[in-house]
Amino acid sequence: MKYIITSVAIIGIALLILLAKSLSNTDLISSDTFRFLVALSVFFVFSLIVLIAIQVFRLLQSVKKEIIGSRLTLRLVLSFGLMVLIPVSIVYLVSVNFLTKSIESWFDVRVESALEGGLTLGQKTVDILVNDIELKGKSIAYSLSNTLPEKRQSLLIDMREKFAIQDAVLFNKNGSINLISSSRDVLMPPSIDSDDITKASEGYFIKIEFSDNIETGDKEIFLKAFIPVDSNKSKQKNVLDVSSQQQILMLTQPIPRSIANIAVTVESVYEEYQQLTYSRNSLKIIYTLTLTLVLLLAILSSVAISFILSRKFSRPLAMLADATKEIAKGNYKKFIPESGKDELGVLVKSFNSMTSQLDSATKNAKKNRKSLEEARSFLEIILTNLVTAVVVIDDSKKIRLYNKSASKMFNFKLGNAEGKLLINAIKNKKLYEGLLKFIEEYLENPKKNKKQISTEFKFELNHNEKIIILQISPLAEKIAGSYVLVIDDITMVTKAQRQIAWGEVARRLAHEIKNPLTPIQLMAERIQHKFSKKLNKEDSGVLDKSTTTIVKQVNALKVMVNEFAEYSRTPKMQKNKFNIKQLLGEVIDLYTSKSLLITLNFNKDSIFIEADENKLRQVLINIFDNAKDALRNIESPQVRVSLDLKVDKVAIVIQDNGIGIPKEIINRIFEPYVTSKDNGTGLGLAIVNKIIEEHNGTIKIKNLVKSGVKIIIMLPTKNLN
Amino acid sequence: MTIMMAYFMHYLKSNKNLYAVLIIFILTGNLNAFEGEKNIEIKNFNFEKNENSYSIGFVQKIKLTNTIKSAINKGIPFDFKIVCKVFIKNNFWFDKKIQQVELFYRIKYKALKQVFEVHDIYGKKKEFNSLDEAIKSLNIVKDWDLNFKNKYNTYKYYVVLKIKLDKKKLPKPLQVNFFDKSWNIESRKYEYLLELVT
Repeated sequence: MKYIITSVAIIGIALLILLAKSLSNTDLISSDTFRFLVALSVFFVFSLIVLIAIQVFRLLQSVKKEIIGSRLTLRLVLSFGLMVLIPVSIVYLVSVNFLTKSIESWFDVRVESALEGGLTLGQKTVDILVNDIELKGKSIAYSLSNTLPEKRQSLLIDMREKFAIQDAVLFNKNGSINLISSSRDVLMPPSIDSDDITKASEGYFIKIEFSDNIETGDKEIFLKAFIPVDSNKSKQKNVLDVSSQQQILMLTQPIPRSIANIAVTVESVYEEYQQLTYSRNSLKIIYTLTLTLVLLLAILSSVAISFILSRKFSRPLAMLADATKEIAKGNYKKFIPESGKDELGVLVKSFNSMTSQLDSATKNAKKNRKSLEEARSFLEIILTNLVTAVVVIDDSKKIRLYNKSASKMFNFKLGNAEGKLLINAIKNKKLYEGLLKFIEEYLENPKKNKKQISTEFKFELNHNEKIIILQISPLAEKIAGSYVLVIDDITMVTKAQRQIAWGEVARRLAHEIKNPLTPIQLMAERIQHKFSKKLNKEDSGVLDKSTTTIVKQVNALKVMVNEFAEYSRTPKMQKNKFNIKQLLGEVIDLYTSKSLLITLNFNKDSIFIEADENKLRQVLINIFDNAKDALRNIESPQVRVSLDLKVDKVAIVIQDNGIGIPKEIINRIFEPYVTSKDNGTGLGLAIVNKIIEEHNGTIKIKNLVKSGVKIIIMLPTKNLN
Repeated sequence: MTIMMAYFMHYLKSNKNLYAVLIIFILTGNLNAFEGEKNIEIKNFNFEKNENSYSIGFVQKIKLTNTIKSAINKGIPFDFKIVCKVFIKNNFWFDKKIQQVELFYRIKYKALKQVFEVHDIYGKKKEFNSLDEAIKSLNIVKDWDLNFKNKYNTYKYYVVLKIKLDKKKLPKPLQVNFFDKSWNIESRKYEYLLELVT
């Protein structure tokens, strides 16, 4: 677009120069060319108007769309436009006024009057001279007509001299000269126009002739009088006319040179003045038109060029503004092409340097942030996967951070507890009353809350004993006022420790008790054998009863000790792959009788698992033994067994409709010496639990709502350890 | 004609660039709109065969405007030009111009002599005491040799006659006067068919 505008402006200016030339030099450029130039200039003016209108429209669109730099361009264009418009308009108005007045000043009434006066004077002078030569001519003609032909020559000479006539010629109608007289030394016979002869035949007439003097170049005016000479009078006097025809007298008299020159000049100037007078309006129009075209082309070219200049000036600023916006959005890679070495160029250079510095700083910050985030997420992952509950609280006991285990332990809603008071976030406040009280005391005690303190809490949850250890410690000084609570659920640890202790007790008991039992039994049997026959019947009976009791009790002790030994023993498992359904079937067959209905619910033929088959058989026998005991006094006793395969686990569910397990012991049923049976050792289910745990499985037991017990054993199908 | 116009308008609508052409056309064409009234009339056209050529004759009636009459009286010379063009008619192409001849005459008031000087089409100078007489002397044009031979026997010829004020001889400001119609004195284009006898 800028090239079009520049081209149009240059062509327009060239046209104006041609227009001015054509006005000043009429020979150089014809009127048609001038018209064409005017038309072409008008066309270019319209072209510029159209171009500017397009530019204005585009600029306004840009302003409407809030394109950066458009407003600045608009302001610059308006400024440039005004800067041009005001002075050019003033110059235009002054020029038009000056021009009009200048043209008007050429036409003064006095000048016109003077010229008209001069012309009239010339006319009058010529009239007087014409009248004079007419009278003289008539007089000579009269005299000639009354004179004899032989005397006419002398008369003609006399009268010519008398009237101071330059030339006098008497000629016939056919143009032949009869008499001639001249004041000049050399007289060339004059050529007589036939039209003049014809006209003179009808009557006299005066002819005015203009000519240029070849020698001096001056204007000359000649008066020529043609007067017919009547020859009737000579005929009356019987004078034979030479030609016997009517003759014509031609008198030639020049107007004095000084008068002729002035008269011709006045006439010429008058004509030129009249031409100017008639051209006055045209001149005004043409000059005004040319000036208007100059004004329009100058203003429009300037405005058009102002668009180019404004864009050139505003482009770096617009780019800067645009780049600033981009930087505000976070795009530090915005680079502005450098242009020029002026202040704008320096500004652009500085901006680019600043951008690149910002970019590198941002990259570093991003890098640092990324590593920080990685570290944080690493910590978060650790925290999340920690079994230990971690809660960070502040002075006001509001939760600042907590992990998944803490949420699980205190029943927080994940992601909702932050910022809440710890006491409000915990769902079961009663359960953790002691813990909360301890924390409160810790926080309120300025001596305590600078140290790390840990304490153990025991409470019952769903009839299960729960043991937790709370470790509370203040965080580093930088985040003063924050405390980290580390809560460990050590219930299972305690349980395991207890089991280990029981195992140790059992092992020692087995060792210490088993050894003397055999001698005791042997000795009791020996006593019976040796002394029963020696004693009377009554004493022998007592002895038998006593020794039998001793042996029975020793056997009972042995069974008990064996069970203890079994519990404490951790023999190596003999794992093999076998069909659990088949094992279940075998055990069920053992216990199925008329009085006990055992059903197995499983559609598939087999589920193979890797486990110690004998140990699992022991588990199942133990469970079915317990079931049988529980169903002893129950009408229509039944046991339902189901197998279920869940991905990589197998679930064995055994359910009876027996008397169930008393509530008091159900949660501790897998502990040693916990039993509801009168003659039970309380080691059966403890051993079952131990075997299942050794298989990396779980066992759960619960009373059914109506009656009976449901045992769920989960075993991995592939047991590598 | 209507079809051509419709086609042109359709083309104009479909091509926006033509608006520019139209603007030029209007601008240049409008200059011709300042043409004056047709105040020269040609009558009694006649056509004759000469020995070697053809000649025409006609009567022209010139009605001068008051402005021009006044200007002549003030001594401004007025030159007129008679242009005669001979064409051959073509049915399917532009008509072919085979000859163009021009005649000039001039009227001028000589203030000192107080006469109207006429340079007629034959180059003769005549003087008249009144403008009407001077103009009247110019009315008849006869035996104007067109100076062409009938080379194209089978074709029909026609002549186009136009008489106009020779503006090139006027003062420059009046030549380029865009708005004053009173200085535009001319006849319309007269067309006369010539049937040449071979």
